[in-house]
Amino acid sequence: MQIEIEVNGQILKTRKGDILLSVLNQNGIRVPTLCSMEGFPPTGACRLCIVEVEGMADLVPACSYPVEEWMKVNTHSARVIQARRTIVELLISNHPDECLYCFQNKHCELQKLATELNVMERKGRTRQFTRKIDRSSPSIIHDASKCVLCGRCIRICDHQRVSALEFISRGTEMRVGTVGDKGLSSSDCISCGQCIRVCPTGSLQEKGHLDELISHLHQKQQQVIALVDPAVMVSIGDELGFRSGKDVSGLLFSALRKIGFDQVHSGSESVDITMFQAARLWKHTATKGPGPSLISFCPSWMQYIENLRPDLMSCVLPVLSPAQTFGRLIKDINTNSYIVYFSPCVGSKMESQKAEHQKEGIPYLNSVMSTRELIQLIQLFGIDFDRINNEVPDSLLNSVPMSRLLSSLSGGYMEGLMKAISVVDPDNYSLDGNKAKFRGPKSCKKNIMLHYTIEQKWTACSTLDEGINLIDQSMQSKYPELFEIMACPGGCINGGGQPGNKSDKVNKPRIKEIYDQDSELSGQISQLYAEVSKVSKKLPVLELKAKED
Amino acid sequence: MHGNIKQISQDLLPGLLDYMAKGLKDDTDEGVLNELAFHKRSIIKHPCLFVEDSNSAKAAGSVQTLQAIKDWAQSKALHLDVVLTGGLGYLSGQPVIGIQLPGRNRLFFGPVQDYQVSHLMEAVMKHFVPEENLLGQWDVGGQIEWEGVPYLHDHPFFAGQERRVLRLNGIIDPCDVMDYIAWGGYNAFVKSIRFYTHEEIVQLVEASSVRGRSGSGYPAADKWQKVISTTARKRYVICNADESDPGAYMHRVLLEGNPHVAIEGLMLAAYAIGASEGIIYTRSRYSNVVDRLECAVDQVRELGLIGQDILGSGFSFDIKIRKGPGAYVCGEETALIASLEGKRGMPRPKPPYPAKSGLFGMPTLVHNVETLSQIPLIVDKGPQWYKSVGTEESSGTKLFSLAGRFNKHGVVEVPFGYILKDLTDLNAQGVKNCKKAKAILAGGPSGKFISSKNFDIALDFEDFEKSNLILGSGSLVLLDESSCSVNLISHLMKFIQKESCGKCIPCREGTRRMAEILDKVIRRPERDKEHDTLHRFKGVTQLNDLARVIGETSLCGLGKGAANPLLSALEHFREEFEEHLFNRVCPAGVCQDLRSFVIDAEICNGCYVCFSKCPEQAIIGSPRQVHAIIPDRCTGCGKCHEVCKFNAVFIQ
Repeated sequence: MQIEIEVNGQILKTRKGDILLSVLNQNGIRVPTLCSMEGFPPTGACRLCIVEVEGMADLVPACSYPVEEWMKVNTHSARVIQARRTIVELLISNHPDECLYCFQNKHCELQKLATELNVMERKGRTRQFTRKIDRSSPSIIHDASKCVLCGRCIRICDHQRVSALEFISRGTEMRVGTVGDKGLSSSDCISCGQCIRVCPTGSLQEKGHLDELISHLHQKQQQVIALVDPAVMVSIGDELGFRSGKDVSGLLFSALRKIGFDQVHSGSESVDITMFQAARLWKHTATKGPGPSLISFCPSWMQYIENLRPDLMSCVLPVLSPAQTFGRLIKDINTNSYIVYFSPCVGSKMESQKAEHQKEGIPYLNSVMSTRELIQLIQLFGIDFDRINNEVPDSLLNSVPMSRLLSSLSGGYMEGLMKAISVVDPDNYSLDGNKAKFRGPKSCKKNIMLHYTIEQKWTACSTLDEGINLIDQSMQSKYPELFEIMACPGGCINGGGQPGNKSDKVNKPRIKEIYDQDSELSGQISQLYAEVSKVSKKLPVLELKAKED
Repeated sequence: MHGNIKQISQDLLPGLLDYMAKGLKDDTDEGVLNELAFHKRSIIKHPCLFVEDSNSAKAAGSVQTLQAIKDWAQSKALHLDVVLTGGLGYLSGQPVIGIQLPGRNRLFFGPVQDYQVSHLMEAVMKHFVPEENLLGQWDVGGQIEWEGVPYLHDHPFFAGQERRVLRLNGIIDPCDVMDYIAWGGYNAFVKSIRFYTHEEIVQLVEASSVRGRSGSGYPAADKWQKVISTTARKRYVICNADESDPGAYMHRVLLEGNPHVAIEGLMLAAYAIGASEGIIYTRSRYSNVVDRLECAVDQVRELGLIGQDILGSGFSFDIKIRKGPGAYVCGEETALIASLEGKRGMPRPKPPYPAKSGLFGMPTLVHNVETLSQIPLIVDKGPQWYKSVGTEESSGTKLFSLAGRFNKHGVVEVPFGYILKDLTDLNAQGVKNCKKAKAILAGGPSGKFISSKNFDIALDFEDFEKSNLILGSGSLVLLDESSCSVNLISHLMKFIQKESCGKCIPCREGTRRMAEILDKVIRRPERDKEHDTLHRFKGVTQLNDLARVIGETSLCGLGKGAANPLLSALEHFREEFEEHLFNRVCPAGVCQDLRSFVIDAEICNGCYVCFSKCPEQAIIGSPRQVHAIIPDRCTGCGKCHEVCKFNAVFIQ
C-alpha cells in the first residue's frame, strides 16, 4: 500500500511496512548507524539511527521501525543530535586512544561518527578494560578493546555458518570472543575475513607482513617474486584515483617492478594450470555415480570442510589452489626465492601457514598480502600511477591466458573448467553442446552438463549456508554433482582482504570489468593446454586433514 | 505427603469432572464428595498440622520446627497428620504453623520456633489457645469456632486484604492437585472446555478489563485479540515466572503456596487463543518453585486436563517448564523468548511484538504469573464479581511485596485503589524500630520514589500515572531516616549495570557511566588526586542529561527505566545528594567512606572490645581507660559501633 510520510517537513512516498531507515536512505537522508548491515535483520543495538517521531515519547530506532502513515519524522532535531552525540561520547569514553596506530585509521566508522557529530572533548573517562589481543590465528587479529560490540562480526560469522564468534558475558563485561574464550586458532574460524570487512572499528584486522616484505625487498639476498591475484587487479583502482573497477594490471605490474620485485606474475596463469589439473580429474567425478564432488580452490572453504564437515573430504577434487600451485612451480625452478602473493583473501594467509604447504618449515608462499596491504605498499614506495606505463607480467607459459580475471567471481572456475574440459576431453565433451554459463548476480547458479549420456549437475555457489544445504541435498540426488563453493559472497571480489565496504556501488563496475575482459578463445586453448602439460607434471595432489579437537 | 502424586481412582474421575463442570448437584457421586471433604480437611480424624515449607520459611527455621513437632508427637505417641503447605505470605510470622483439631477451626501461629513447639502443642491439645504468636483462627467450613480467638482475616497484617489469588496459599498442600480441586480449582477450566467457546472466554476477560500486572498495565484482552488475529499454524502461551526485581517476591510466594492457580490461568489462556503449547519460564535457582510446578503439571496431566484431546473436546495443549539461567533481563519478553529459543537472552527491537511474532516466529502470548492467576477467577466467578473490587480503570486485586524497613514483611493482596498509607501503617505496622519513614521505592530498580508526604496515594494504575510513578511489578521498598538514598541509587545502578545484557550502547555504557559517577559521590578515592573533585562535579553535572538520553534511546525496558530511581531521587532527596557531594558527609551514616565514628568519653568504660575488633587498629586505649578513634585511620567500617555493648560509639 502506497502511503506518504513527512520527514523533516518534506513529504516522502513509500509503502506501508517498509523499514524507516531504508526509506530515509532511498530519499537521500543519511542517518548514522554502527550496527545495521544490508541484507540482515536489524538488531537495534547501536541506537544511533534514532529519530524523533511526533507523538512518541521515546526516540525511535529507524533501523527496525516500520513506516506508518501518520508518521511525522525529524531525523536531525536538536534532541536527536544530542542523543546521538551522547551515545558516541559514551562509546569513546572507554575506547583506546590509538587512532594514529590503528589499522582502521581514516577508515574507522567510529572516528567518522565522532567527527560528524562534532565530539571534541572527552566528557568522562570510564574504566578501561585491558583485553588481551588475540593473535593466535594465522590470518586475523582480534583486539577486543577496540570493539564497540555492534555484533556485525557475530552476525556475519553466523551467516557464514561458522559461528566462531559469540558474545561472552553480559553487562559491561560483555565482549566478543570465541568458544571458551580460547582464541581464534582453537575456534572453528575458517579465516574468510568477512568479519574484518564488516567491523566498523579496528577491532578485527588481518595479520600484516608489510615490514617483513620491505626488509626482503631491500636486502636483495633472495629473488623476490610477486604473484597478483586477478581479483586484486580490478579492486585497487578506486584507492589509486582511477574509476571504480578499472583493470590496472598493466600499471600494477610496472609499479611492482619499480618497487623492487624481480619477477611479477599474473594469477590468471596459475588459475589456468589448476584448471587443467582439475579437468583431467573431472571425468572421474562424472562417472563415479550420484553424489557430490567439490572443487577445492577456496582456502576458506577447504578449512570449513576440515573444521566442520570432515565427512565431505572424500568428495574434494585433490587439486591445489592456484597460488599454492604457483608457489611449488616457482620453488622448483628457483629454490632461493621469496614469493609474495597479493591476494583478496585472508584465507590464503592461513593456508600458506599450514604444514602441508611448507617445505622444511618454510612456506611455499613466503608471504601472503591482502589488497589493502598492497595499496599501503604502493603508497609507501611513492609510486605515482599517472606517470608509469603498462607492462606485461612475467610468464611461466608461452600462451594467452584462458580464464583472465574470471576466477575472482563465483562461477568463474566453473566456466574455466568447462573450457579446459573441452580440450582435455574433447571426445566426451564439447563446449558448443554446453552453452550454459555461470554468470549473473545470483548467489547460486545451477546447470546440468552433459557427459556421454550421463548428466552431471554443476552448481556454483557463493554463500556457505546455501552451498552446504545444496551439498547435503545432493547426497540423495540421482545425478553426479559438481560444486564450486566460495566462502565470500560473490566470490573473491568480496574477499576478506579487499578494501572498501561491500556495497553494490563498488562491486558492480568491478564485476562488469571482469565479464567484459573475458573473450572467446577457441583455438588457443589447446596450445595453452600443451604448455600447461609441460610444467604441471610434477605437481602433487592436495591432502586434507581433519581438525583435531 | 510431599512429592507423591496421590492417585485418584479411575472410577471417581468421571464423577469428579462432572462436579467440576457443573458444581455441586443432587446427583454428585458420594465418593467424590468424600474425597473432596478429605482434601478440604473439613472432616478429619486426627489432629492435623500445617507447616509452612517454603524457602523463606526454611531460612526462618521451619525444618527444625517440623522436626520438633514430629518428635513431640512421637514422645506423646500421638497420631498427627502433617501437611506441608506454602506460605500465607506473612514473612515476619515465619515459620507459620496451622493446627486443626477434629471438628474445630484451624488455628495459625507464627513465628513458632522449635523450642516453642511442645509448649504450644500441649496447650492446644488441651483446647487452650495461647495468645503468644497467635495469628488467628481460620474458618474451614462447618466447624466449631474457637471462642474468644480472633479470626485470621482480622489480624493486622491480613485485615483490609482482599485475598483472591492468594486465598489458598498456606491452606492447601501445593503438591496435591486434589487439594486445589477441593477448593474449587480447575472448575473454571473444565467448565470452559465443556461449555464455553474460545470467544466466550475472551469476552469474559475483555469484560473484566483485567490489565497486565507486569508494570505497564496493558489490557490483557487486547494482547489476546492480537494473537487471535494472526493466522499462524501454531501459537504459544508463555508464563513469565522469572521474577527478579530486588525486593519483589510475590510470584515466588504465590507459586510456592499454590502453583495451580497460575497453571489453570495458563490453560484457560491457551484455550482462549488456541495455543497448543504453554511454557512456564522460571529460574533454576527457585528450586522450590520449580519442584512444585513440575509436580503440579505432572498431576494435571495425569488427571487428563492437559495433553492430547483434552476431555474429548478436540483441544490439545501441553505445558513445559523451562528453567532460565537467572538473568534479570530475561524477564523482558523478547529476551525471554530468545532464551527459550536457545539463544543468548537479549531483547530484540519491537515491533514486531511477540503477539505477532514471538517464540520461533509464531504468535506468542506472554503474561506473568499474577496476570494469569486472575483468569480462573474471572472465568469462574464472572467479570462482574471480578470488577466488584478495584477502581474504574484497574479492576481486581494486586499483589504487593513489602521489603526494606517495614515493621512487618510479606506479600499482601489488596484491591486496586487501596491507600498506600493504610498498607504501611496498618498492614505493615509502620516502620521498624519506630523510625520515621522517608520514602518508598515502588517498582524495583526501574521504579520511582514515593516520598512520605505522598503516602496517601491510591495503589492503582490511574493514580500512579497521574503522579508520574511506576507501579511496576509491585515491589515496595521502604526507606527510613537511617537509609541513605544515594547509597541505594548507587547500588541499584550497579545492579542494572551488571544485569544489562550489553546489547545496546546507551544501556551498557550509560549505566556504567552513571554507576561510576555515583560511585565517586559515595566513595573517597583511594589516592587523593588533584582532579578528583573536578571529575566528581563534572560527572554529576552530566547525570541529568545522561539519564534522559539513556531513557529515551535504550532498546528495552531495562535501559529505559534504568535512570528512573536516580531522576526521582534527585527530585526528592536533592539535599542528601548535595551533602554527599559538597560536604562529603552521608547524613544517614550509611556510606562507609563518608562517615566516621567517635567514642563518647562519658559512656565508654574501657571494656576493650572495640579496640580488639577494629580491623584497622584505629582505636587507642587501654583496659578500663576511655578509648578514642584516630580519624585518619578509621575507614568507617562500623565494627566498633556494632560491638559496643554500651552504645558509646556514635556516627559523627
